[in-house]
Amino acid sequence: MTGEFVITPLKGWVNTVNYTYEANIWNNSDHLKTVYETLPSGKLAPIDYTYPNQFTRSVGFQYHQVLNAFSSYEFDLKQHYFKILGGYVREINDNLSMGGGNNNLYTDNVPSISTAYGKTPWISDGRSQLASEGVFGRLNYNFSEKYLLEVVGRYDGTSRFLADHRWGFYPGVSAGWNINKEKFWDKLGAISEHINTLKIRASYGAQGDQSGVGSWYPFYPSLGTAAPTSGNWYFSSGREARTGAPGLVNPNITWITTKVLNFGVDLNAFRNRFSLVFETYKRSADDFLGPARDLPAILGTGVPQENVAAIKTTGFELTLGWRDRIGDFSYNLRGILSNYKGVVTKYPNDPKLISNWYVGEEMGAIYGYTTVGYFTGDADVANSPSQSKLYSRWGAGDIKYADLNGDGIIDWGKNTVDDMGDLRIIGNTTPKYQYSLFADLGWKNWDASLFIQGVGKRQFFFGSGTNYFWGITGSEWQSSPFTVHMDRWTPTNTDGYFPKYYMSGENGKNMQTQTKYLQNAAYMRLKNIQVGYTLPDHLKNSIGLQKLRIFALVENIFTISPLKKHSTIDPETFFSDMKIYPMQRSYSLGVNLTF
Amino acid sequence: MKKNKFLLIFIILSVAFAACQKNFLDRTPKTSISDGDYWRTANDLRLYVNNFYNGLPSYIKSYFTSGIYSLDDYEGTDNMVNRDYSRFLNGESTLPSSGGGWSSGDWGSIRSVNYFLGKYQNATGDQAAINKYLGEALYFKAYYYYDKLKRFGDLPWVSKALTPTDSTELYSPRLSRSVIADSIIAILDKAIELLPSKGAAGYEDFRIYKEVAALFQSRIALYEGTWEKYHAGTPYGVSGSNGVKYLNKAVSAAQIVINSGKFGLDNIGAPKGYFNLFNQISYSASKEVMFWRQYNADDGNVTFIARYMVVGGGRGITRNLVESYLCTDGKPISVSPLYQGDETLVKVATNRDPRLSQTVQINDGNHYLSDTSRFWHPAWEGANEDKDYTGYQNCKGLNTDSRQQEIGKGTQGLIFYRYAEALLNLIEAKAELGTATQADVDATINLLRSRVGMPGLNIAAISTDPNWDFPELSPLINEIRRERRVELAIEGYRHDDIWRWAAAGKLIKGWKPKGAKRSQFMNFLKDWSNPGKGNYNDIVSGLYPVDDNDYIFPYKSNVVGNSGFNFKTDRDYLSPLPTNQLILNPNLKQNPGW
Repeated sequence: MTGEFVITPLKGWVNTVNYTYEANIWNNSDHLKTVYETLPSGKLAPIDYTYPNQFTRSVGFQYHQVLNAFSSYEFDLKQHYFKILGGYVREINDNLSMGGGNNNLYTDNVPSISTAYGKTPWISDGRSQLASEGVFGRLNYNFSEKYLLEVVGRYDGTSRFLADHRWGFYPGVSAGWNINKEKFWDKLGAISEHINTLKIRASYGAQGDQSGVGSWYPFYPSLGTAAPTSGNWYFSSGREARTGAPGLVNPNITWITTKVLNFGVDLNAFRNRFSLVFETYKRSADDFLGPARDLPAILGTGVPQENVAAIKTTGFELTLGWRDRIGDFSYNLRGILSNYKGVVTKYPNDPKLISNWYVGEEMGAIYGYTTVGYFTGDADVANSPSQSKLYSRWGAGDIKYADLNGDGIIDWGKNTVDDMGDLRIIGNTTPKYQYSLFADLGWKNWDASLFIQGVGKRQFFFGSGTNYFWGITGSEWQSSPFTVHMDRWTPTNTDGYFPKYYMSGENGKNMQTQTKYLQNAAYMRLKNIQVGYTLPDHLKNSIGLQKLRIFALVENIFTISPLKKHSTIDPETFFSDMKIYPMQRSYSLGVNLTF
Repeated sequence: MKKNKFLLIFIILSVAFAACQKNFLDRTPKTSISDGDYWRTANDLRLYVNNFYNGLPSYIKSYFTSGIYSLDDYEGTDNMVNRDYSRFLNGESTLPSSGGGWSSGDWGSIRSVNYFLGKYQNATGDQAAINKYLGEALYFKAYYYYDKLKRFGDLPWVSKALTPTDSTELYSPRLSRSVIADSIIAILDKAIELLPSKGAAGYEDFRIYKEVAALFQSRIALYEGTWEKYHAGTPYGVSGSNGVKYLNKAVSAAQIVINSGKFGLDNIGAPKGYFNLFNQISYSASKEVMFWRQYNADDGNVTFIARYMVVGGGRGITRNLVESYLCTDGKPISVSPLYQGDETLVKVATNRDPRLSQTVQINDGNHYLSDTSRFWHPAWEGANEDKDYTGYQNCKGLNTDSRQQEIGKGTQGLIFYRYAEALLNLIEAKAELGTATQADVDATINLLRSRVGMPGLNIAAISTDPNWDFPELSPLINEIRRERRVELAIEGYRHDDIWRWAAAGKLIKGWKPKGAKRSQFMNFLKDWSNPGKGNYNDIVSGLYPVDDNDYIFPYKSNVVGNSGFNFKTDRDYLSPLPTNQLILNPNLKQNPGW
């Protein structure tokens, strides 16, 4: 719900107050019914894990209120245009919830907490608030729409941080130059004839970011509490409540200040059929909340996040388009290509352990061994550098790793940048050169569209927990062989892609991060194709419609990716263990009607 | 007029929205507490200490584990072996780069106690209760530290809940294991002083009390005393120490338990009395079980132990353990005329210490898997983790009640401390000090023997056993160690015993585990009422490789069968520290051999 008042006391002076009130009210209930199976004897027996029956109910209210008040004044002084804006904003999120449940319902026909008689009902509530407020201002200036200038500033505070670290000031400035509006432009002959508009622009500004902090109260050391019913120890009078030590918190945690320097070009040419937008940027933060720093383990608890890392990201985005109409045929092609790279420029990791961030590290780096191939037998093992630090037993069909530092031992050295033994950076998980391509075509009453997306360069290594990739990682309980996993080393198939298998954790020795199983996760996917037909005017008018369009849509038509050579994993859906429902191809037929 | 209306609405909205204008951005959690609201009463301390009890070991609710009755296999001993040989015993441990028992999570429980120790002083009120909870917390600190002492030896001593700015303590070096042992023993002294005695004012069932702390202290003191004595002169030893001060402490601590007069042995003289000591639902009436965990099926707090112990668990008891049981004349099998040999399970148990047939399943018609089925042969079928691998299938801890063996119904109590250990700790410490008398033996070992009807040990007339594990030690110490092995078999003591006696070089290195004789299992019909279904011969032959003398030889075809366990005595008595930690704190030194 939003209400807004706009008062314009003078021409060009606009005062706006708006207020938004959102309430999200939810009510969930969950009923576990007992399911019975018929035994061979004819008796009914409850199926495991469906008894005792159970009912839980939870209700919650999420209120979100925003108040915005701002005033702007714009005026022209000859060719000079000015606009000044200043305002205030405040916002609060207020969550309230309650839930409870019990088991042993009298009957599954009337599920409620009141109609359950379990001895250990459970109940919980939640209440949390997040508030912020700030003032902001903006000054716009342009000279004959040729030279554009904007200066902005924000001063923001949030309840997420303690008073001394709560407020941040984030200024910014941007400038643009519409070159084609210059007088000299028209004198450039062929250039001005073909190039319709050309604008270059630059900006530099700071932004406050608190999104990396999940908790609304990261400064607050809460003691752990647990109800008696969650316990497993029976004291003389039964289970009891218990409390636990709070985790370490960082009371100095504050905003991440992201500074962005951006250059851009907008260009339209060839009778506005061709369009180009190019952006290049450098984003940096020197109070970034990186992963918690490493401290000696005897600390005995997690290290809280601190604003101590600095990162720098550079990247670009290029959009190219071409649209035209030739008689009844119209088309619009648009492609986007982007790339970025992030580097750590400051981080408290003096020994430069590669298990954490370190100065100079490129985000997404994968550390691994270089694979030589399979051992051919015991003699090969005996004559090769020792791999005993990784595992004690090696034989035919096991992976032979390369001794890159030539010390005769395959290991990780000190696990630091200066001595990582035989580990090297063998790839990067950052998706590079992401692209997409859109095409819209029209011919008379027919229309068609097509969407392609992809990633030009990316590597990924599936860890030893990903049995969807490896097929067999441990015992029979954690194995999931697909057809691709038939391509495996055996004494008679010594060129198999996957290594010799063990029905135990011994597989781990062959699943070390390494070049052989590093996956090229680049891909191109034809995401969807749509074909439509719109009924001609004379037909639809006769049946009293404004518009009638029939269309067919196919999604996820095909994917090209080197990843698919040895696995069934989809390059677009990376998750920790990949145990997700696969992407589906869908076919749709539809009708759009407008009355 | 119109303008005024807008203004009015604006003001109302602003006021309504910003009712608490001044502290709009000061928000604290509404559903959690912090130190300022806590640590005021004795009950606050109680609730905090409660957490440590919840963390005590439980029977694990998963396959392949039988709680404490699989520790002798899991930790690596000569009592019990697994289908796959212990890589640890075979010197195949590898150096971790992180984790390895030395992660911040592994130090979390010590931090948790230290947090209490830094806050409990704020509580006021019932001083006796405050003292009790302090005593409990100190017990748990000792409990957590002892675990690390056994694993790593030298350790840093963390005296408070550290913060990232405590750089002196965070980057401190490891202190000698004897300094750590002294500190553990000292906090237990304090705990023993503070805690109520069993049955005294303030005592509660299922909370740590004075005698439990004392028994634990005697365990630690015996561990450290014998460790320093038998590892003396090696990189694991403590220079200048022979362990005597710890042995004296082991004696006095065990005496606190024994002299309290509050404990005794259960089931004296009862048929299957020893067997039935380990499979009870409740030990509330027990004089022997001093501390145990209770389960409750109504709440879903159950164990699967009874269910899993019916089958072989992928393990088996070794011939080595079976042969250490005496004959009923008190003589070892090497010399006793009563020994019937080991052609069959029945024979091997005949005329033997009754504890043997109450630890190993015997197919004599008097052993059961459940109350509806007798034990006729070890588990040969099913998943690998269901089978027996030596022919000697464990029955210690087995509850044969079918209801207990159902999913979600098992509530068999889990024993943490029993009085027999106090007796065994006392006599061993005295023998090591050279002060053990016949009266001491009568008051300890001979009580355990007479419970099961075995003749007592007479110091003056110990039969020489040519197969003693430790011929270089006195006959008395050999027999005390035998008694300890037998009485506490499969309860998870053996690994620590071998380690503190520095005996892995002798007992583990080069050892090839064996089981029962295989021929006896041939021609077992699959179905006695239907011989047409055939016998198990193929299955038995496949499951049990044998040596030249028909003894089951589980590792016959691998490296352990070939040359015995390749235990590395210069390295494997202590675990390595993960390499990342050595780099994060250059003051930490690696353990010997790593």
